[in-house]
Amino acid sequence: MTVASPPIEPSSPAPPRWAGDLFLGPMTDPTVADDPDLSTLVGLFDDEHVRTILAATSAEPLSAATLSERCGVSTSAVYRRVDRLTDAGLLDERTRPRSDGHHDTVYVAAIERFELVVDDGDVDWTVDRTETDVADELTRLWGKF
Amino acid sequence: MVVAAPLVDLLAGAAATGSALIGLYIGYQAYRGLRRNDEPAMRYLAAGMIVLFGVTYLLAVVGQGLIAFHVVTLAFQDVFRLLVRVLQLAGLVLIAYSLHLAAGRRVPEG
Repeated sequence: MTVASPPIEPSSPAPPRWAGDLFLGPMTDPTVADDPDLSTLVGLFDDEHVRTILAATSAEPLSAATLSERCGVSTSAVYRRVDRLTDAGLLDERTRPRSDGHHDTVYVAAIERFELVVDDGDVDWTVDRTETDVADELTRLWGKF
Repeated sequence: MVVAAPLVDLLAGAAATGSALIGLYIGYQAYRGLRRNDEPAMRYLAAGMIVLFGVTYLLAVVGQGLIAFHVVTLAFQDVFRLLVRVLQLAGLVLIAYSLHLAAGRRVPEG
């Protein structure tokens, strides 16, 4: 395994959250978000490390450094996959405050199920996204007071 | 217990039970927030909600039961009332402390 360079700041910071999310739902409704191309999705799922990232982040929010340990690849390789997953809407980016005033960027799987339906001469697919967890929203909201 | 107004008693009891259940639900979500996000402020929020709603409710029910079944005399009613008030204070102190922790850990913008 190559020696990882110092943690790279991710290119795009998490969008700011506001308290209204809790009551009005996220500003971008996941149910109306366009599903990415089938080839994009299948290309992602074909990658073993992508599957590891999704599986690991579905259990708990994890940083890129932790994910690089879990996958056994460099952090830059993790960031490449994380960026593609985030663009496809399969992974969410969050910030976790640290006691020293800085914050860690952590990732949470946003996909729960992928379904391919072949029926009546049509091939259709859907991505079921994870609903935002009440406990996470409460934690975020409480930290904002 | 006022026997003349059983409906009022029933409604008051139902409202108290509802408050306890919803308070415990919020406390439970705070506990899950602690587990999922490693956020220490949520520990005190969860503990505060559980003390404020769960423990006080339990104590009030137990106290009423003990008095109703003559296990203790009516004079103990004030003792239970005092205990409930003290626990309410303790729960609120925990929540205030949690709020303080959360604010202290807030990420500065930018």
